[in-house]
Amino acid sequence: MDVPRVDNVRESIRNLYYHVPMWFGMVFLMLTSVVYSILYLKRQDLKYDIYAVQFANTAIVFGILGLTTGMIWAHFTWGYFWSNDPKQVNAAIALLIYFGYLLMRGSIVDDQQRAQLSAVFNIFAFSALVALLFIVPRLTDSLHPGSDGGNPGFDTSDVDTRMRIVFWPAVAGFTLLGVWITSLHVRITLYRNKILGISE
Amino acid sequence: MADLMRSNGKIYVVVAVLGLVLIGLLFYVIILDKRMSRIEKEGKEK
Repeated sequence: MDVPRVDNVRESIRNLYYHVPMWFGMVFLMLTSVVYSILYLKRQDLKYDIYAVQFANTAIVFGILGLTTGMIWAHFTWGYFWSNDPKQVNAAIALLIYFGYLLMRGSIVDDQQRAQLSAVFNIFAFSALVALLFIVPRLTDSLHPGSDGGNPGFDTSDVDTRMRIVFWPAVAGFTLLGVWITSLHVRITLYRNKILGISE
Repeated sequence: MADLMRSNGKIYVVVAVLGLVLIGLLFYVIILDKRMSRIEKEGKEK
């Protein structure tokens, strides 16, 4: 598949198929996670808590991969692994908030209490994620492409049509791969609770 | 190394990124394997 010639990016433009779907996948998975957290608060069923934390886990893996692949790409295009670009910094802060979510879960022994508190924390974490990734970048300039770097989305002028043909299936593929691995984690956790006689 | 990464139009940067994504996802699946082994053991003990 032919790609546009962009100076300083050159063939590494194809990283669009691997680096960017990590972030799209992360956002979809975190959205799913927060939906399960809200469901937990509504129905008080521990099953939803398990779904919420496993989706968050996979989302964090995607986020770490997004950040590290971005650093490699940045080193060979912008010159530095880390240039304190607003999108780099905001993504790192968002991940730290989610690390806080996991830390908080790890520190609570009681199942109900852990589920309740972490569900509330998750709602705050997701709100912060939306602000950090979709609102703050619009107010600043960035090394990232997308309407002078500020826009977290991209329109026709930012991504070549030929690349979209590969890009969107890549987003769908990586996201579904994440959903599948998450479902395996959920199933094994539910099974564990069943054989150990932990009520759902 | 730096020259290799910049040769052939920086295509090896894509190789590195794709490799890292695959290693990362593989690592996550290995964690799943470990959890399953632990749960199998817990099931046997019970």
